[in-house]
Amino acid sequence: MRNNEQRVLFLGFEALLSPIRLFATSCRVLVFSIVNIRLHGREITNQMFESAVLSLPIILFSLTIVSLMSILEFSWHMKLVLKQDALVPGFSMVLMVREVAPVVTAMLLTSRVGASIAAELGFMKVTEQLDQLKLLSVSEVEYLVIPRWVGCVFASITLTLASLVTSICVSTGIASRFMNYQPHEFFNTLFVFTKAFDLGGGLLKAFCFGTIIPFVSCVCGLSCQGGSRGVGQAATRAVVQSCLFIIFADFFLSYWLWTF
Amino acid sequence: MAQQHRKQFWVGSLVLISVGFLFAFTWGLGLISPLSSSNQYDVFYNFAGGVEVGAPVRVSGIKVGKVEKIQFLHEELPEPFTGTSVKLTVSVNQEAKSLVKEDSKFYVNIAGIIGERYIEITPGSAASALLIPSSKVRGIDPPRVDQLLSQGYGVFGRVQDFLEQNESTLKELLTTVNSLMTDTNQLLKTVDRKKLNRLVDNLNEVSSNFGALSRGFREPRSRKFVDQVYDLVDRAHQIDKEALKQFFQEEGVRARIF
Repeated sequence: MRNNEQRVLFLGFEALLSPIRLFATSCRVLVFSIVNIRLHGREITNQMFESAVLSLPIILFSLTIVSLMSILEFSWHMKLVLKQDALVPGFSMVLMVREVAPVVTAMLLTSRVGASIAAELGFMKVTEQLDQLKLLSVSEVEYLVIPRWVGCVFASITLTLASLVTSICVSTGIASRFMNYQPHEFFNTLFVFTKAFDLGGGLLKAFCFGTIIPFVSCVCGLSCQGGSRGVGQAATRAVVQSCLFIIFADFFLSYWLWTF
Repeated sequence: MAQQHRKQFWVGSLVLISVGFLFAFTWGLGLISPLSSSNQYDVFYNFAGGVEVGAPVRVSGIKVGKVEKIQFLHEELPEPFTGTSVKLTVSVNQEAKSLVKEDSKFYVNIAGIIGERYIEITPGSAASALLIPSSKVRGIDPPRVDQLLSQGYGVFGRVQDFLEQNESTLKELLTTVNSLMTDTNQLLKTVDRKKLNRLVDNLNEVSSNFGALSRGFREPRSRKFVDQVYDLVDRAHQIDKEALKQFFQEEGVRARIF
């Protein structure tokens, strides 16, 4: 029993430390690659396309629904407490910029891209393709991890911006249809509480989440064991661990950025 | 190869669109304003009342700019900026800068139900000259509620001390006043109302007569009479008491003889 607890603890620490170790190695390799101009441009473009462009429809659709719900909820709460909903645009925009857009985008990216990365690398591991790469003297970090990192960071930032624009458009439409707002009136009060620092903080979060997803997923994929069952478990583990990491990172970043 | 080009096209398009979104956001947040030219003024306050960078600037209640920068002043400035400790750099856009004149006032105001702070600029008079860009202006400090509360707390404390120290005296005073009011009330009940009314009528008449008399005194003839009396008294004052005595004695003797 005691051995089991120690094993769980060890696995927990390993799950926490392995992505950090891989991140440190990738940073070193990335600097080395940039200095030697040895970036895999084609692979990076492929990953950007896979992560960002193919994720665009699902993320925009989800953010449309989320912003629709948030604006209606805000309106209901404000009417309940303040007997008016004049501040809805300002408050909803702050929430979107600081939290909803980066976090929801990252969660959706995790479920779509993170699982894909873990499954892909896991399959490569169990079919011994990674060993073949080693035989060809190709660094797996340089060829597999860094393009996915760049692709995920790019996807996270661009899709966060796209989510924000989508949420503004949807909120304006909802407000003018159901809340007796004129579109220009809604736009005027949109940025009342949002500061440049909020946008910067939101984009910093997007960068951090875009970094967490590939490293956690790559670790899960590269540590995959067994056959197809192991690949499935790696994909599941990648999504769960990435989501947990994102939630913790979101809490710490919010505390660091806006509480002090 | 064509598929690779297609991917590059989509990725490139997404990059351009994202840059466009970022540009739109920074424009919306007021970090950049490529199409508007604005005038900036330095407004000095001793107490800025919670204004922050990016707070709106309004002329006649309409938003026309924002607070660009807030700086603390570490050196004492000459008149009329003596005692100021904060410099606010505010911008006013093209449409409203013709209303900002040398006699315009820069207030710190509060708007909305959550108390958003903003700078309100009153339009200057038509005769006044336009305020030159980058001019230094002394702003009107907002009232300090904390100071008012503190002073009010002090005043109330002193009043409370006074009441506690003179409690017995005040009680005695109140008892006396109460007794006086009771006696007066009883007196008024016993007094004949007709007599009282007559007394009031007489007082009214005396008052009106006195008014007529006063008006008579202000007439030129009365003034002349008063001047003559003054003159007479003045001359009589010059006469020595001895000479006056002698005069009356002699005149008295003469009167007795004749």
